[in-house]
This record gives sequence, structure tokens and C-alpha cells, in this order.
Amino acid sequence: MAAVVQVRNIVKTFGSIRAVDDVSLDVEKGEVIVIIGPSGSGKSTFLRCLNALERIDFGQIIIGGEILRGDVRRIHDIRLEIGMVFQQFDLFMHLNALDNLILAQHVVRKRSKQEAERVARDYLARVGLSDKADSFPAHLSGGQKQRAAIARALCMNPKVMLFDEPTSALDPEMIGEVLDVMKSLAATGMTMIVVTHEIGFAREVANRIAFFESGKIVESGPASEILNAATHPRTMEFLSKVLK
Amino acid sequence: MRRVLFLLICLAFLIGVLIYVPGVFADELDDIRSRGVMYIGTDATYPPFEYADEKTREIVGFDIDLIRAVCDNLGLRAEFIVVPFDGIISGLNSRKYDCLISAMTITPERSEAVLFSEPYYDAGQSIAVPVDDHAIKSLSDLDGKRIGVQLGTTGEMLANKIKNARVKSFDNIGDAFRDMANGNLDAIINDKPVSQRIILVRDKAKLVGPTLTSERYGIAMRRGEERLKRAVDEAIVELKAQGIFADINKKWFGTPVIREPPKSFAATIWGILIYLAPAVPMTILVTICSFILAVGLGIAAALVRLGGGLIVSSIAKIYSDVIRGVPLIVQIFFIYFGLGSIFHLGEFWAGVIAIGICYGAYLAEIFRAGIQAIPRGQSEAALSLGMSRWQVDRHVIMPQAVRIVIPPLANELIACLKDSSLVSIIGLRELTRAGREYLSWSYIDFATWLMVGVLYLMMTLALARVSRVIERRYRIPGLGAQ
Repeated sequence: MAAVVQVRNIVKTFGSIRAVDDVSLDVEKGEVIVIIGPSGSGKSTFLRCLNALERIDFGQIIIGGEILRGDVRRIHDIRLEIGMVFQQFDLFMHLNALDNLILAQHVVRKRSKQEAERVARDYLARVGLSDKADSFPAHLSGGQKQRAAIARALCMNPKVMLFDEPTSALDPEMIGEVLDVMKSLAATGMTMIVVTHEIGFAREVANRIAFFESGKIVESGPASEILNAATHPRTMEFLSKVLK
Repeated sequence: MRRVLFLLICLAFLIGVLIYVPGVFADELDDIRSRGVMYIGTDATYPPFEYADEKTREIVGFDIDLIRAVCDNLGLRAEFIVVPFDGIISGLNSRKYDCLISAMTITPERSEAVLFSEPYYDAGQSIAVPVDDHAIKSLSDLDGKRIGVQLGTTGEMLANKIKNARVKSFDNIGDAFRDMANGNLDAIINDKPVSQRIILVRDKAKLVGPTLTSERYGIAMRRGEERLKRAVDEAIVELKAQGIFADINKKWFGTPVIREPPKSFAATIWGILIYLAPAVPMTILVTICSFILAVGLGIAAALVRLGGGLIVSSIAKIYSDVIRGVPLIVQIFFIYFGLGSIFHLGEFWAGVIAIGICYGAYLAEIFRAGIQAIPRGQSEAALSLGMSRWQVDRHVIMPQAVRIVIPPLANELIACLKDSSLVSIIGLRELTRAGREYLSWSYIDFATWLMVGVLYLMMTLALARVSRVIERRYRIPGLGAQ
């Protein structure tokens, strides 16, 4: 069976800087891939290329058998298959938690208000936020906001979930609650690509780890292999710092 | 070189249009006859020739009775259009009315611009001084003195010829008398019958010396309207023969003004309020219409500047830079008088359009800032959920931007309400204009301006209150001031 996500030799430049430089990656259904690497190595840009928030300069991205091209209508359709979770949560400020989950279901998926609300309440319950349905983002903690953001993405029934440093903006005591939600999501068989510095999460959940540096995947392989027996000197140096 | 030539041709064409247009439809008499109405321009702040009556608010006066009689004689209905004196000839030539009667002295300069009827009244200029002044006796005593005149009058021309005189021109001659009473002027040069009447009512000044000039008033028409002029002249001759002219003369100059006994302060205030109140709806209407136009222009300009192509967004930028760099009052004059010969806008729409365009430029900046204040993450999150660009704007960006701009928008609305007073200058009878009309015969400055101010304040306070309620109701938690 073909991989859910196939990335072939993509390049993304900003002016003279090659943020993503000839990267290829296949992600099988149900796989959890964790991308690690130093700041500015192009991890986030790579992730943003996958749902066309950044337009690639070269290469090919195939999601669920569909080639991601410039055609605007197709991009919207493909984005429907890909959920994305951001570092800054980016809940809609003017809507309460429930309406944050309902909006796109209603206007994009064309679900009725009642159907959308039923789905929304279901996912709020799964991330443990049933009692916060009426709260506005400003009145939620960072961890609650990120769990709501994950639920918002899941409501659209994506085939793949992208996480862009989902815990980097959180206070330490809230990181656990978000990782727990992600772990239980992984347990349901969701295909996930996660950019994170949480090595513990990678060790526990990841099938594979890819190490990014200067826009390239320097090394990748099964999680235990990379974490315990990395072969590339840059990977070893990075891991020795973060595992210290 | 070719570009310079092109520009010159454009300029010549524009000037040609401006000069030519007033003459295009020469010979208006048939037009007037067929519509049965004569439109007449007048500055109704000049008793006893033309002013607004205290009780009825009708425009009355010697000139008004005369022109009504002329119209009767010609079988026409008279319709009056109120215009400030310094723009009254521009208004005639931009075809806002068919003729004007406004105690206008016939001069060679004016005869270049308009066609005068035969003189209907002879009034000389006279010098008025404070009652306690005994030094000024004649024109020769005015060297180096502070002299008040009305803008654009023969009195002003005369004063400007006096050596070293410091001439202060007023929009309204009543203001000059008030300024003299306050000690800011040494003398006023103005039409004798008008000064006489003001003094009769006010008692704080006196006339000195002989009449300075022979000043003959004429009814002004556009140049080239020879048939209309002849009809008017013949009508006046007939009125004189019938004794109607003498009756009018007697009515306005033959009987002394009966001064009413002084009223109590409360009664005065009440009288002023009763007079001003009907002008309040016009102020509100001008404000609302201007602001609706401004909001439309502002949103369009903001969207175009943020998302339009290079050319349209440059146009939007030029619009907002140019309009914000020119005083609103100049824009009002430009649209009403400057463009008046091309677009026949009444004073209401000219005012609304000028204010709307001006505030649109300010609102464009506010809307632009409001849209830009929404973090990029909001639209990226929405896009990643599969929304189209339009859905993102409609469901995520606009609902937030609109709420962010409510407080600055409310401030602009309040400023707009206050600036609506500027359209009084083109004769629209809103609150400020009503105040000036009331003053033109009552001379009760303090209380009148106090009440005008109070009425504006009541409106602005009410607006501020409403805007706070709306702001609180639609506030987004965590966004903007709490």
C-alpha cells in the first residue's frame, strides 16, 4: 500500500536561504513520525509545506494519492485531509471553545449546526474539556487552549495530523496534559507528524525519528535506533545536549 | 515635451469647460417660465434686507418682499436658496439659482462677473463707532485704526483703501458689531441702512459723518441673460407705478423698530432653544449620511490597499493621503462651488459628499489597522481547516476586526457630528447655521452660542454612551482594552 504522505525532493527558499533543501520522506498509515533538530533547521517550514501554508519551489508532495499543486480549490480539499496544530494554538479569539470546533465543520464540511455541535461536544469530551465549551480562548489556560485546538482539527476527520511544536509555548506543568492527548490519539492509529523537542514523547510514541539540520534530513530511522545509537555526529551532538 | 503639451491641452480644456459651462444654456427666461419657479440666492443674515424671522423661521426682509413682488408680476413662484455672501456670485455662476438678491452693491468688478438689473435701492456706506467714541468723525480719522467690515462687500473695498488701517473682515456684519462692543474694533464701515438697524436694536454704537458713497443695490443674474434682466427691470418699473414698491419701502424703513422689553434669562434661553431645535434633525441627518458614505469608502479603500493590485492600492493610498492633507472646509468649498458648475449638487449633498469623502480617508486607516491587528496565526489556523480565503475573511478576520475598530469608529462618528457644523458655511440650515441666523437679528451672543454648544454636547454625550454600550456588548474577551 502506498504511503499516506509522500514527499519527493522538496525545496523551499526564502530569498537566498534554502529553508527546506531537497527533503524526501514517506509516512505510512498509522505511523507517528517525530521531527527533531535545532531551531532554524527548517522543521516548521517543512511541516507548513505539507499543507501548503508555504508554497514549495521544487519537488512533489502527494497526500493520500493526490498531488499537492498550486490549484487553489484542490489545496482546500487536501487541507481537509490534514489537521494542523500550531505552537501558539491560534484558537479563534471571538468564538468560545464550542464554536471554535463548530465553525469549519459548518462552513467547510457543510455539516448542519446540530450535527457539528454533536461532533464538537464529542471531541471536547475526548480532550477533557466538556466543562469549558462556553469559555472564550482568553479564559482558558495554555494547555486547555492547545487541547481545544487539537480537538478543533480532529473534528474535520483528517487522515493525517501535523503538530508544529505543540508544547513549546506552554508552562511546564501543562505540557503533560497535551502530550497525554497526543499519546491517546496515536493509540487510535492516527497518522501523525510531530515537530517537537520532547524527546520523552518521541521515545514513547514515535515509530520513526527524523533529525533535521540546515534544511535537510541528516538522519532518520526507528526511534530506539536514533535515540540510542545515532550514527551521524550532528545527531549525536544534538541528542547529547537535549538528553543531558 | 509631449507630456507637457498634453498637460497644457488638458488644462486649457478644463478652463474652457469651467468658463463655458455657465454660458451654455444662455437665455434662461424660457426655462424659468416653463417650470414656473424662480430660484433666488440670498444670504439671510442681513436685516432688514434679508434674514430669518424669529418666530416663523421664514426668510423675510425688504429684498425678499421686493423679489416676491417681482416674481408675482412675472407669474412665477419664488424659491429661496440661502448662501453665504462671499460665495453668492460663485453660486449664481455655478447655476445653483437663477438670480440673487442680497443687498448687493453694483460695482464695476462685480459687473464683470454678473449681469445687474437696474438699481432698486440706494444705500451709502457709513461709519459706525462705539457710543463713547468722540475722536472719529469722518473717513480721514480712520488712519491706522482697526476697522470691521463684511467679507466681500463694498465696505471692505473702501476700508482697504485707508492708509495703515487694520481691516478685519467678518462673514456676518453682526459679528463685527459684537467685536466692536467687545473693544476689538474702532470702527465699522458698512451699508448705512443695515448699520442703522443694528444700532436701533443694540444701542451700543452710533453712526458718524456723512454717507461715504452712493451705493446702488441691484438684482444679479448670470451674464448673457439679457431677456431675464429686461423682464425683471420692467417688473420693478411696474411695481413702482403701482405703489407696491413704496409699500415695501415703508414696511421696512418707514417705521421705527419696536424694541421688545428685555426678557428674563430663562425666557431668552427657552426662546433660543425653540428656535434652534428644528435644526437638530438636519445636523443628525447630515452626520448619518456622511458617515454611512465614509464607512463604505473606508472599508473599500482599506481592503483595496491590503489586497488589491499595485495600481488600485496606489489609488487608495493617494486618496487617503491627499484627502487627509487638505482641510475639510476647503473640500466643502471645492465640491460646492468649485465643482458646482459641473455637478449640480445642492448644499445638502455637497456637504454630505465632502464630509463622507474626508472621513472615508480617515476610516480607511482605522479599518486597515483593525484588519492588520488580527494575528496571522488566526488566518493560518482557518486556512489549515480547509476554509477558502473568502471564508477566512468572512468568518474569522472581519468579525474580529470590526469589533476592534468600534471604539475608534465611535470617536470618528463624534468628530463627524461636530464637523457637520462646517456645512453651515455653504448655507445648509443645520444647528450652527440656525445659531448664526438667530444671532443676525437677536444679537444675544452669549446665550445663543451657549445653547448651540449645549445641544452639540448633548448629542455627542449620547453617542459616546451608546458606543460604550455597543463596545461592551460585542467585546471579545482578551482582545483590546478591557
